[in-house]
Amino acid sequence: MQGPETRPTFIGKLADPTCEQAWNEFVRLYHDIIYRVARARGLQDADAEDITQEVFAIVSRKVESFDCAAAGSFRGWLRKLARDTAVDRLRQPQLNIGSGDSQVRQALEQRDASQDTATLWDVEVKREQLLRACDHLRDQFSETVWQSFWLTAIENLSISAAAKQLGKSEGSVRVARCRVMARLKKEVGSDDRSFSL
Amino acid sequence: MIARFHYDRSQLQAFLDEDPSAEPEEIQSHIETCSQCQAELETLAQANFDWDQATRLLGVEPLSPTAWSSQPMVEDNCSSILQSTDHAGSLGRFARYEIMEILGRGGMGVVMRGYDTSLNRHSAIKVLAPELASSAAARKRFSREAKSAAAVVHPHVVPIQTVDEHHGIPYLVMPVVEGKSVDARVRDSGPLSVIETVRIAAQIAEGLAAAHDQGLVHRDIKPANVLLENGVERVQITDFGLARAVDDASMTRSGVIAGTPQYMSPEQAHGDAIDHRSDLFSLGSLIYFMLTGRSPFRAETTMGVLNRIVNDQPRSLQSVNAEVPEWLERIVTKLLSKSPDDRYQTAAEVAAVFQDWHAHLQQPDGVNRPALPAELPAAFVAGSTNHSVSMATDNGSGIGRLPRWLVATAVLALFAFAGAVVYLETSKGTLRIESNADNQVPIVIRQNGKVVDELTVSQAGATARLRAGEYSIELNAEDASIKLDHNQVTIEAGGQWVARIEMKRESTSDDQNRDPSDVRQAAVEDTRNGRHEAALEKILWCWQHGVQAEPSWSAVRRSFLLSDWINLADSSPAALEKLKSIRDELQKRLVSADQPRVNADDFADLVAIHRVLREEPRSIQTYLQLDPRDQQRLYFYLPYCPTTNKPEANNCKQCHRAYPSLKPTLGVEQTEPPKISPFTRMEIEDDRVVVTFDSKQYELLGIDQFPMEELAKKTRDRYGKKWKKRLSEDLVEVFWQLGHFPGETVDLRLRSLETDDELSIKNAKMTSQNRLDLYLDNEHNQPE
Repeated sequence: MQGPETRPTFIGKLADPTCEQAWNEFVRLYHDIIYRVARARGLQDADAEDITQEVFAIVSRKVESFDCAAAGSFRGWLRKLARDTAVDRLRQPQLNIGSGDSQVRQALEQRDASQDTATLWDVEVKREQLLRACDHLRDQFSETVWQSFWLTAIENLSISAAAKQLGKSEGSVRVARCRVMARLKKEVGSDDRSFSL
Repeated sequence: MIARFHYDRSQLQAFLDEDPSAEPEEIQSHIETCSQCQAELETLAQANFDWDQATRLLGVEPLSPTAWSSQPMVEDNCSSILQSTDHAGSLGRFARYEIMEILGRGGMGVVMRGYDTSLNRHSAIKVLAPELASSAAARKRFSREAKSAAAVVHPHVVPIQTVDEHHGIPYLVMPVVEGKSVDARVRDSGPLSVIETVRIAAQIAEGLAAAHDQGLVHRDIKPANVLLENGVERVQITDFGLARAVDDASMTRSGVIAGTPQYMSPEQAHGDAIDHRSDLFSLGSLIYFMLTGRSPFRAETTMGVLNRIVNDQPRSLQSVNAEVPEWLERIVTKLLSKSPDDRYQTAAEVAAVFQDWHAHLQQPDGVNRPALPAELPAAFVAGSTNHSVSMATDNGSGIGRLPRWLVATAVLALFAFAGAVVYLETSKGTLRIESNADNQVPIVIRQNGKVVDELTVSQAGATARLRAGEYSIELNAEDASIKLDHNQVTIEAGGQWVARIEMKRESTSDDQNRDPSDVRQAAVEDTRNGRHEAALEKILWCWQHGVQAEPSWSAVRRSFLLSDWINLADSSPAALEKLKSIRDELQKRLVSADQPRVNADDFADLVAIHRVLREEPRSIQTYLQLDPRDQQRLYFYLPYCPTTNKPEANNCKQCHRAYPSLKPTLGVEQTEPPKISPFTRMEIEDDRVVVTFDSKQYELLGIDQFPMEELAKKTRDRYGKKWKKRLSEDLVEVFWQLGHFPGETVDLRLRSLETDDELSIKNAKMTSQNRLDLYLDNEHNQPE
């Protein structure tokens, strides 16, 4: 029997600790994204999870071929690989059971599906980015300031309704909203702080 | 105060850039009162960023695979099927429509209000739910049904303008009907008047008649599907034939019925083939709703509703609403006949009846009072010997859409008569035949023409044991008439009964071979026929031996069987007493001091009994008397959080626990098993299972009450070639399937690979982090 310490696992292949850290970070960030794209492509929960796992398995196999020593582009490389793999995996025919359709039609549908998946992917990446930025920022503001932003900018409440709900003046809601927006914009735009998606 | 000066851009930008925790300064108090500076600030904050997109993406709760509960409808699907657009006020673009708002979500999909830019008009766009759209069969079905519905053109049917697909998602387009559904109308302003009800019913019947002429059955007539157009109050029926498209597609997991079946016909509830007369039954239920504000067949659970549709007569309309006249009561009763043959036979006929009455109500003096519908015969009697009677069967050739154990009635056999030959279809059991004749009556039982048994029946009677199948029973009796009463056939001649044939289920002694579902059905039958003792005896057998006889029965026992029990208890005090004594016994066993580690099944039983007896607080009382270690294991079964006394279907915010076992009705709302595990890795070999627990490797010998060998076998039996994947990744789901609900901890029996020592770990915590680690390192357990 082979013990787990000697068995090549997903992360076991990454000898370089910085690569291993990058991989862990990668899994944490992309897990939900792949899952959501798969769900949006119409898969059931369990199937979406299976796909997520498969994408990681495929990516991890390819990781071997990447030279970790070759400087900081590992993350970018992973990012692209994940996207390509997911798009590719979600295009495979077992998801669009073809029956009797002409080949041309099928080909067209497949192209549509991959374009859709790619679009969904970008949307979900963006969403993840925004969610993480919100997570990070939320604690830095007082609850009222945060709510001033959230109610008006995200939930489309009018300034006056939000002001009423929060017991603040309209002016202070507007200012608070702008302060959060400015920070969020910066947070999403900053590449240095976190693993960029 | 009017501000006299304004900050410039760079000052405002600096204000935005500063640390959010910094104290508010003078600049802030100025901007808060100066609208010009606010406007400038907003321009700065909004610049160079797609806030529309951010709003769309953050405005919906994102799906997460580690969520505790399932989310049948993907909330952000709407945004994901829409493409971005520049059109003012639009949420996004779908095909050639600018989507202005989401009108509703349902089992089938999403209804949106769209603006057709090329035709300059608003339309309602119904999109098949993306989860259904992934199935090619569902897509085809949706398109086909929608196309046939589009062929129906009638003032009382919402027209379908377009049926198409967009990026693989089928959709249909209808005009926007400005108005309310009957459902909304009755909920907002109470039951409708008699004349209003008659007017609406007449128009629905007209619309149905037009569709039925095209061979189209609606299948889902209910208050929400009948729209009342504003102003003119014109009635329009929507969603023709679409119920069927969804039905097939949504039956994805283990036969769950989507939606509320309150307006189903008995034949639908039964899973039998249906025809247009099914819509007439639903129309009867709908009229009942309009007059009383409630549907005629109501019950706690889906199962209860189905049961009532098939078996019960609803309360009379007049007893609920005294204003309902006798003639209307009779019309509705006729529509609600269990047998389609006893209803009006066409929608056109119903429309004519209601039109006549409507005319009369509007002008009582000018228009003659239509004829009163006849009262229905109380019981069915087969008049002639050639009359064929078809009764619903549980193994009939209908579209067995409902799982067998869901089928509410317990009718055993299909009888048809021709001359003195009785044909019957039966499951395994005993046929008992009695004769009333002075001399002995010879009887021949055949199957496929071959004689199975020949009997001579005297007054003492005779029995024949039969396997499941179709039989014909021939007996010599001239001029016989045949009467059917439940599963007993009586043959009469010359005003006297000649013979009685009764189908009996397997005798109780044959425990091993009894299928608890059959026994349960027989008990339902007994309950209905007033045989209370026999029913209780069968229910008790199911309660005690059901799971033993059929492992998958664990889910049935604490839900459907108990609900049967309560039904029986309504008419049988003895049954109620028995249930209460079982409850007290369990209670005693659980709280007795010499039991530090109580049996989880006992507790689950007790909670289930409390639930049906409507005494949930007693579950909490009992729980609070338990040892804290037991509480840790058992909170999972509680109906609600003992701290907050509030039901928490997902996670209770106060105690951070889930209470998912609350009211498991029919799976529609049932919670998914949590994805948690005590292990970070599991490797299943031929003769042993090696797990990584707490970063160390062990051979796994058993979890909770399951020895490893048994657990592996049961998992393999249940999941086939995916079993390794399921056992490793979905441990809790496997347990739930086996009727075991471990909560968040399990007891482990392990053998260390280093020292070979056996050890036992109590209450090993299962976490989603462990499970995620395992899931990410599980290539070796994928199906071959």
